[in-house]
Amino acid sequence: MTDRRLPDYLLERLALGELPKDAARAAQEQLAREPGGAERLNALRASDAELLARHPPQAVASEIARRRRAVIVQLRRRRAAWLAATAGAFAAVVLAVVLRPGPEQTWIKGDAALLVYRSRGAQVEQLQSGATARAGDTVQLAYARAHQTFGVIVSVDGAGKVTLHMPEQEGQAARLVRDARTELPHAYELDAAPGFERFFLVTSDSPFRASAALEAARKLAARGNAARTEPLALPKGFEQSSFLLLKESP
Amino acid sequence: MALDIEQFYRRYGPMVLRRCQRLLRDPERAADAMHDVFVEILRRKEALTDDAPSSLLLCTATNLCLNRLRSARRKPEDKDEELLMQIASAEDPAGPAAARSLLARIFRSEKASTGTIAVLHLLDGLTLEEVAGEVGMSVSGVRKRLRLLKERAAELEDVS
Repeated sequence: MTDRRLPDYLLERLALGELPKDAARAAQEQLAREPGGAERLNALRASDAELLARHPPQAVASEIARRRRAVIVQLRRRRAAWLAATAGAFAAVVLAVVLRPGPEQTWIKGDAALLVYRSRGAQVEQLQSGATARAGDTVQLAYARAHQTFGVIVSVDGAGKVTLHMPEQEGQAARLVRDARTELPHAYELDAAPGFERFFLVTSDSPFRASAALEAARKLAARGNAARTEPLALPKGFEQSSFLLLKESP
Repeated sequence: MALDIEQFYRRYGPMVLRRCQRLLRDPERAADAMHDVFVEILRRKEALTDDAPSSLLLCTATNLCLNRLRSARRKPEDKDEELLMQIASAEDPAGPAAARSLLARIFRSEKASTGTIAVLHLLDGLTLEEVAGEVGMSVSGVRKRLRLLKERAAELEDVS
């Protein structure tokens, strides 16, 4: 195959500097032997400029983001199918709003934050900590601005019940998506527990087990009303943020 | 792995578009496919670990275009297109399984789709060794995949 023309596939990767060292050397040697080989690289660069002018990056990025959101909504709809029995059409609406376009969706800097969206009837809204909610509301959790690597989301309710939301099963903490708003795979329906529901996002740069956050949450839950306001008692190296939902009386 | 879509496209977009144009032979369909290639990559960006994404993008584009060719089933206009249609038709009658396989490979958990391997070797002209390097398989593994593909489509015997 020494006399062949360097395949376009390899030329593309060579031009980007992404061929492994030996393959790059072989490709360069092959290109040098080829009549008009050097011009092929120049032609590729000219083609880059022409295609970027014809398909401007800003417009393409916007269209990619739009399609991506549409795909995610489809996936979420599938994943949230279980909600159909209880929340019916609201699930799709929640997810559509959760995934509403926003420049921060790709790049977000700052402290990690818990985001909570609520669907009630035909209305879907992003809630602020301290907002009221009631049994039957459909809630979607998300996090943003994660700057540490691992995280767990747990909640404590007014009945002292502790629930693990992320990861989906007890084990190692989830690896966080940094600098991006990330929704949990499932929305869920608030139950009739009285008083409040408080969510905690616990993060660390080191891997840790979800049980560390669960245990701290159980201890806090055992303190009754203190669970509305007090932080989780966690060892050094952890960070936490919380979100309080107050429950309306039925 | 956080991705700035615009920057990512600026670096890799023209390459992906050329790939889609080569396989689909239609500027509009190619531009449409190119967008979807980036959507596929971004969908799983959390797990994207490769520090040389060009290979992943090219393979994703190849697989996506094969799927589109399979759906379109239009009449080939030349030998290259005929070959592509044969690969697309022969690869795996359960198209979605092939797509899953490629996606899994992209994120380093499985091997490339057989159709992608066939395109790299038969259409692009990569040697078996180069294909093996691109898709992270052994040469014998690549050879076996190509043999299986040929078994599914006897007509490929004439063009390989």
